[in-house]
Amino acid sequence: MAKRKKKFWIPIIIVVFVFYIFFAAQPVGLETVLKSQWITPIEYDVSAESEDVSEPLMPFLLNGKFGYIDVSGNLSFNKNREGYVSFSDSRWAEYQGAPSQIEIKSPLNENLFTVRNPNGYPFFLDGKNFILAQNQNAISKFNDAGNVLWTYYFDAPVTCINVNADLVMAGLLNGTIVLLNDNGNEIFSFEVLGSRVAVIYACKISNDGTKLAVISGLDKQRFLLFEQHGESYRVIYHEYIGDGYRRSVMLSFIDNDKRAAFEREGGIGIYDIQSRQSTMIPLEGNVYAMDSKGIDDMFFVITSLPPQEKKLVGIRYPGMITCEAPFKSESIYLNRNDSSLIIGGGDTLISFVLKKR
Amino acid sequence: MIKRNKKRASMIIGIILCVLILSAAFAIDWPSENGSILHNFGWNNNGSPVLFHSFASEGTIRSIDSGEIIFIHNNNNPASSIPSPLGSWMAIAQGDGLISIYSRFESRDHQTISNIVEQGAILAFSGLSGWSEQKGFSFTLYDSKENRWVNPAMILPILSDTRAPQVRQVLLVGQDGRQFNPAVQRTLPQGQYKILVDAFDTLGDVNANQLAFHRISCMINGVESAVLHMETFSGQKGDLMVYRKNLSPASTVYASYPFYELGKVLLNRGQVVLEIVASDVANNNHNTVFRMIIE
Repeated sequence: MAKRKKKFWIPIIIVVFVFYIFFAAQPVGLETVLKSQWITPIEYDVSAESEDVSEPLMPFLLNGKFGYIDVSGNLSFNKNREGYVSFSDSRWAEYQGAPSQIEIKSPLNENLFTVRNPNGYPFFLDGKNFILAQNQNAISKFNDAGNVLWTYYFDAPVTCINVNADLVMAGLLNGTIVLLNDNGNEIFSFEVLGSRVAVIYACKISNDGTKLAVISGLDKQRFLLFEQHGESYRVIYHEYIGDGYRRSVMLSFIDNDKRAAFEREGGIGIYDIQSRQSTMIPLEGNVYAMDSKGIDDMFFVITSLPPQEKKLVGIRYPGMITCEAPFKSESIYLNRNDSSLIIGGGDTLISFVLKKR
Repeated sequence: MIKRNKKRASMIIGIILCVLILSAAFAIDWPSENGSILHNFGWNNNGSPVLFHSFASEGTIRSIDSGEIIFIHNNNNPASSIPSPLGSWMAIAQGDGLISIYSRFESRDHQTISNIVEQGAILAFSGLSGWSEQKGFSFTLYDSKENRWVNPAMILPILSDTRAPQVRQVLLVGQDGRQFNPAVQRTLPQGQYKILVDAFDTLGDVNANQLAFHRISCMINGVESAVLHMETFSGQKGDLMVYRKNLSPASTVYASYPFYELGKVLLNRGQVVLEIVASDVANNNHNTVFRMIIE
């Protein structure tokens, strides 16, 4: 009787084994690896001829050096930073504390135009020129001749700004966000309540302008996502993310506006807008830099542990850490350009290309 | 009966004195023990109002009162992608909606500071960051309940000051743009005029920095016809507003730098006594009188 029972089990085991091997097995997924592309030192000043570089040019600010570099690692120029610097992909300006005028230059270090009596500091976002007033209570937009087109005065000091999709968003010290159109007219404002202290610590507009992300408040700090609803915006998601940081906080729309990534106590939060799922990725140390694109299923972060310990962390969505690379550097630089990842530390910029194998 | 009343009066006086002494002990104090005020709240900075007191100073910057730190910006903060005209700055909620903002100080790590600070706690050190030309710091008061900037002079202890503000020049600008100096021109045509005043205050010392006055008014035949208060500024519908007789755009008030536009007055035919009264926060007043014939 016992022998018959044993014989009965053996065919079942064989059938299950065959089924598992041929039908249940999944192919091993492609893994993303970083392949070094080029290394460019920035220890010495460079003033390259324009034919040595090709667009697009990316600005970098690292270890007291500032300049532009192309995707092949050629420097447009590299100089010591001597004052405050504002820059974008298409223009930059360097200025001292209270300038009477500010020269705006191209990535090829050519003079574009001059802003006289700026009464504030320039910043360049979404291909446009702006000035944040010296009282930090107003934004002015100016044209490529240095003439002010409009000025908008807020009702509280400004703590954060973002410009995208022809919209200007400001977060204020009184916990309010204000959204302006390209003509400087207010189209939306919202007082973010729900925390003991109301302050806006980060704000971002999605690339298509249909979503707004905000980090606000203390005790507890909140991540909020707004979605366009007719002429206005409404909150579609919010999450408490700890007691909160009392400083500007990192926040980005990534993965072609499909997700939002934000700094939170203990690590990084990634919110998937479509699935409405939020993932918390624990990280050691403070977030020092965040990949602002997060494309190709990968998102990169650099964390910082005193005194100079840094760590590059690669995260595969929805939130799995796939690589960690520690290094030492006082200051760092991180940029993403399509499939290239450019990291700077010390006096060196390194480009990696992301390959799947 | 008389003895009992005397005893009661002494007790009341004693209680009042105790309250005054205790209040003085816990009263708001200046953020710096040394240094001089470079520009004060309301000063006309090349056509724009200053919304803070800026100090040229060395050494420590202290909290004017107890409170909670709600925002810190260090120039090395990698999360901040916008420039900072306030330089390195810190906002402290003092209670009842009042927020004090210390700015343009030395950039350094503030992580060792507790989130709750007592009055007199060292917050930072004088430095050179943000929109500033001289080592020191700036101090701003913001009322988050009323959403407006408040003149710090209204709550900080009044400094010893016996010198009244000075009025350098007064101009009347007609609707056609013609300017009249009432000090030299005593006959004006009838009509509406903008009143422009170039005035400043100093803190006692004749060589001290020129500062903004606290209040300036224009009286026409003894009736207040125009006034400018340097008490609060507020942002409303995209404009920065200041109180004259009503809320007015600061851009209008400050446009004719170095003058301040008090408002518009209607001068009718006859004799007119135009009086400009400039006051500082210590209640020192300066009167300038012009007698004119309006034709």
